[in-house]
Amino acid sequence: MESMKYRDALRQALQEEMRRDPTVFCIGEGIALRGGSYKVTLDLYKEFGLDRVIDTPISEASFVGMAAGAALLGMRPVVEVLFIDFACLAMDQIVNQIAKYQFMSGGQGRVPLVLRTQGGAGNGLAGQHSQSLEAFYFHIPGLQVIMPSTPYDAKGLLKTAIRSDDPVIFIEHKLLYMSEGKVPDEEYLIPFGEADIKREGEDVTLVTYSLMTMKALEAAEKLAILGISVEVIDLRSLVPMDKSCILHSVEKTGRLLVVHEACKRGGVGGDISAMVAEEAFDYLDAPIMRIAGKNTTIPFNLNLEQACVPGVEEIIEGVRKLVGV
Amino acid sequence: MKETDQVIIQELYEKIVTIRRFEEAAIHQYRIGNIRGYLHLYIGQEAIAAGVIQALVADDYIVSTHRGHGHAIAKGHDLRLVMAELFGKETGYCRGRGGSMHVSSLSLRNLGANGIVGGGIPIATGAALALKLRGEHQIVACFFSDGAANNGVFHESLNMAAIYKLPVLFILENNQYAVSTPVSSSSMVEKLSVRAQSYGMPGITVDGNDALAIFEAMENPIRRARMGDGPTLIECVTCRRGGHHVNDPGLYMPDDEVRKWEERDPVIIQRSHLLQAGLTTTEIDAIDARIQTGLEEAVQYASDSPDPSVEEFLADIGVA
Amino acid sequence: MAIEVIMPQGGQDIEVGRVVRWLRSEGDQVEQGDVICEVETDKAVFEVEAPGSGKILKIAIAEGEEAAILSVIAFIGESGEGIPSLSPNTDKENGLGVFIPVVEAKKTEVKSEPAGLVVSPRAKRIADEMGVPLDKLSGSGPKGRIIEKDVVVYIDKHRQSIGQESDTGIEGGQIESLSKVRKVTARKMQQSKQTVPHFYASIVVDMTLAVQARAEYNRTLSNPEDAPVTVTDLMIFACARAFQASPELNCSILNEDKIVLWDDLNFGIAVDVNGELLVPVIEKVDLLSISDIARERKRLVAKAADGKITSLAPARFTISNMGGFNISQFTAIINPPESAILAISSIQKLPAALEDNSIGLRDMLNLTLSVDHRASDGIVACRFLNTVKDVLEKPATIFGL
Repeated sequence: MESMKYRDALRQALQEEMRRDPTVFCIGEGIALRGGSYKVTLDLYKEFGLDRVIDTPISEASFVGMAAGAALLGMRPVVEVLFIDFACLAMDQIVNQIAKYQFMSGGQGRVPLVLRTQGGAGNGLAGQHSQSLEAFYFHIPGLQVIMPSTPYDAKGLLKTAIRSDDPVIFIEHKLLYMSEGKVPDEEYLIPFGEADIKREGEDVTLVTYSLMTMKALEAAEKLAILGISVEVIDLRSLVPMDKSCILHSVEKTGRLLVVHEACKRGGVGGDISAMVAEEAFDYLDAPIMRIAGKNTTIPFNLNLEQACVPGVEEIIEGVRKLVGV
Repeated sequence: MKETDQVIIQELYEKIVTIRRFEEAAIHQYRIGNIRGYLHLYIGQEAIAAGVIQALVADDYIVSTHRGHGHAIAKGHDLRLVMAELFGKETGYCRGRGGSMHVSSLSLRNLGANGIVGGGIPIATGAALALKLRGEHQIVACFFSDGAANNGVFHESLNMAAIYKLPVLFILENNQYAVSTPVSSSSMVEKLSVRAQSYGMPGITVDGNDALAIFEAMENPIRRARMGDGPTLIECVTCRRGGHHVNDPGLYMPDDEVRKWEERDPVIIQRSHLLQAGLTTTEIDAIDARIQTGLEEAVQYASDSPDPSVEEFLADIGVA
Repeated sequence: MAIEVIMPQGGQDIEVGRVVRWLRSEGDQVEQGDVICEVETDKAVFEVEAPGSGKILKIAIAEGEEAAILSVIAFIGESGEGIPSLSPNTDKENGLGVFIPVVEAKKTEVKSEPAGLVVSPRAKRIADEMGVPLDKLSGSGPKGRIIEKDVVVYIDKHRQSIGQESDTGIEGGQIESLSKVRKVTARKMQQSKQTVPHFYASIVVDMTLAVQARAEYNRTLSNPEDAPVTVTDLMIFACARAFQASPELNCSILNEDKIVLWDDLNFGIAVDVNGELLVPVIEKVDLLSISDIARERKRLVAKAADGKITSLAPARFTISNMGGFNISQFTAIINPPESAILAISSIQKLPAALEDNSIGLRDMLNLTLSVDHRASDGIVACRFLNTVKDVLEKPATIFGL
């Protein structure tokens, strides 16, 4: 076991997979010589060469599409889009080409591509560099959507993503790159569609992912002192989603709280809430609650920015209201 | 100019006529309700698909457009399976899931027709990247329209293909119209191949109705690509015969222009090449008849083919 | 069969076309491919070619008329060929026709307070399963919502409480008054269990020889006034000897600081008389022989059965014998102010180790002594029980043989 940063865990995953499989290559802006804005691909080009760690011009739509073309010919590209906000430039390639190729070709073609990107607010980067846009991709059939919250999860899930024969949107969080966690020395993979109960509890099921997992755990710790026991489920994998984990937990606790940083309206939380209402109605002892980002563009000012995304106190208040304490 | 032998001229002719007959049959099938949705026809442009693809080898790749039957047929697709796909049948190349705008065959190295104008350009560029990274000999021919040449991905992809010296041929099919917008009002330059200069690659313009001329013009770009020297932009100037798709009568196309292009019908041009190469009218008629029979078989096959099973489909998508 | 000329499909969402112009007429001979008609949709005008050669047998849709897409507008064939009769084409054959009703958006009223009981689904499910009447609950959730906790509390309380006695008795059972003896027993036993710190010790006794000796002795009795010796009598005798060896067990707790050591040794014998627990007292057992014991015990039990008071002397120790009822072991409750009670179980034929270490069947019996731990410790109990065992296993001491 070794303690390492999230970004280093990601790099290890890339290294291991690139050593293991010569068809794996990285492509994106500033990822080779500069090592990436968040240093995830730092010095990879030194080991694998500039043919396998490719710097591109600022041409998101095309280099994402190029990754798709290469994938169709049997390569396994890991294409990095610097900010998830910029992935909007590549929406046609992602939604109309990558997500649909296998289906529209009647199964002839596969697109084993990983699109790595990051999102989230908290660094004063303002409206166009702070979004959480997983709901866009969640909504498109043909895409797998993965959002790890710890170094352990990041490494195991990225390896699985690279080995998947179907496209993966792999969404990291800018505030998690420097977070630390234990990672085993021996090789491991984390399968998709498996949530992680990061804290067991009896009174409330709290479903979350990415950075909000950390806030949820902090809130759960404080709530424990008040005698309230919160079960924190880190989804890790939005598509495919571990439905049964959520349902079993709600059957036990009777109360569901969904927490995500993305705007509440149209967010993944609505889908989860509806699913639980449909399938575990008779187990609910309280209405389902969502705590999510406010329906606004993220402002530049720090206090305003913080007011837009769920915080530990807000989560604590929400749980207390659910439990009636 | 190298003398291209008779076999090639005949193959070019056959490709052109097969495409023409296929498209005509498709129109008829559409009108009687066997094909639904959109049908974008390649009539008038056949020389481009024929000329370019004739110059490729079998394991070279192509990427096509929404107007994709021509490229597919020139690449050697089985007419029956293309027609079946247009009919939406289970036996079609894409099991009825794609239809006219998404016909593809990975085994024939056709990465597919594409419903998004310009959507295939990055894909073709990426395929070329894979070939280069693996040191393979194959190249990619990327077909797209004058309309696509104004789309952002055209510029980005040509730029990257040039920087990375990718083995891709950008075949710009200038058929004079992007839906109903004439090319003259979409660009300040008349010869679109001039844009190649912006990206540091060679660009040429050729007569898009003369398959033989196109075939011969492909020699240098193909050699350049296979040698690893990078991409070329090849503009083929032609005219779409008819409207944007089967239900568009193309009333915005001036009559005199239409007549002028009809005189330069690729079928007629190639037929005259074939006569010059030494075939007789009888022989050519025999070829025509053979092609016609092939078409009739294709239509029959498509008609007789089963629809995809709805239950199986729902089970596949996990909705059993 | 006549060839059908159909209204061509002109677009994805077009349902009808209109015949603009017939270029040929009924009766005309046409070749396949001849343009015979022009039709119009709202998108464009299309030429219709003859799908086959022959005579135009019938024109079904006249100029200016509309027909559904893909429906028949004319027939071509040979003279005399049959034409199917055409019914007016009202069906949308191609299935493209969609009736879109005009719906006024209804303003739904948002109810601020739900009518009736507000119950969470989880609470309702549990209440249904357990048969809990929801209208008897008060809700502790927001807006008075009945939640799981409320149902659970109700169930627990329901299990614990018996319910209220009413004029008509009580639900699920019949009410009986307790007898005086029952009331006294209940009070004394509750007080004993609540105030006396009991501890218990058991010993297993091999009664084989005692049983034989008793049988032999009883066989020698000739006088009807003689009382046959019972197991209880044997126990009284043995316990009396045990008290001689452990006199400190013959005591009562006076208060926190003091204990009384008694001079007399009187035994209470628990007997069931007509369903009532009575405890006649044999006085000064240490002075009695086995036959005296038998005789006294018989007399006292008879007197108790008659409802007469048996003795004014207080018992210092009680013996409870359930041996007649297949009881392998039981534990008795001390009668205060006594400090101990002996529970005697049934004699059972059980395998036991013999002196030569072989196994044989012996008559075994369990004795369990309950002791007030304020008065005595375990070691006293052990000593007591071992003395009882010794006496019983050497019946010569009892019968003086």
